[in-house]
Amino acid sequence: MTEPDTGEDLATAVRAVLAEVGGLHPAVAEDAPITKVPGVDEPWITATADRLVVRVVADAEAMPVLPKLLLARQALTSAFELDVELRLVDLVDRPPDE
Amino acid sequence: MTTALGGAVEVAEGVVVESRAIARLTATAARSVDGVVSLEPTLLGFVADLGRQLRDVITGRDVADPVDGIQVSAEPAAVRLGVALSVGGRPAREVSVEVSRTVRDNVQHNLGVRVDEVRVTVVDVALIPPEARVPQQQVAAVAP
Repeated sequence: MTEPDTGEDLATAVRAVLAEVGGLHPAVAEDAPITKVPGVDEPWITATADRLVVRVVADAEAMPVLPKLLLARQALTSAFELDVELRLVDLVDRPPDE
Repeated sequence: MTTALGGAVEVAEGVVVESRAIARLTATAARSVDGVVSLEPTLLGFVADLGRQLRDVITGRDVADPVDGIQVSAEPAAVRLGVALSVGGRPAREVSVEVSRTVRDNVQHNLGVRVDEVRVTVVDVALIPPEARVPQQQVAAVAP
């Protein structure tokens, strides 16, 4: 198993996929349960050589959210050719990165 | 697994919904039912709510609905939900049935999570509904 890759390029690419799908956001904002931690730039992403775990929050516009999650996972799987796990950790009233 | 904020449900291959999200939607759905006065927090929930309010003051930002009074028992493919609330203005049984139906429909439709059970506990009945309460200052102002 490789060291977790939480590089900026990967995070930027995943953010772009989420933005395209809409209503899903990285679970890193102050309201989200996952917050920035020292030494880890992107705690909402865990990546190894063959697996990518992405933790997101959904806003009201994403409801019903399951189709969005399926779409986002499919897009991430195609983009990175990895086994992708998408975890919805919380719901928010508004996009957390606004 | 039985916990308010732990556990998760896999709703499709590689797609997982964590209990916190389920609890959040459950709370919102329960509060939308006419006759629900409030969800009833545990002592721990009460302390957490104070922390949230303090953070709001510091950051100047509102947070989403707290999930006090909601219990999520997450199993691999479904959940059992517990809702503790106080009611007012409508018969408790009527409110409970509607809360159960509304929560189940919302969670299943919006999150794709199968709900096996919604257990509603009415912990208090407000004899005077909140909208009928008149602040004491107003009463004093209109008194002869």
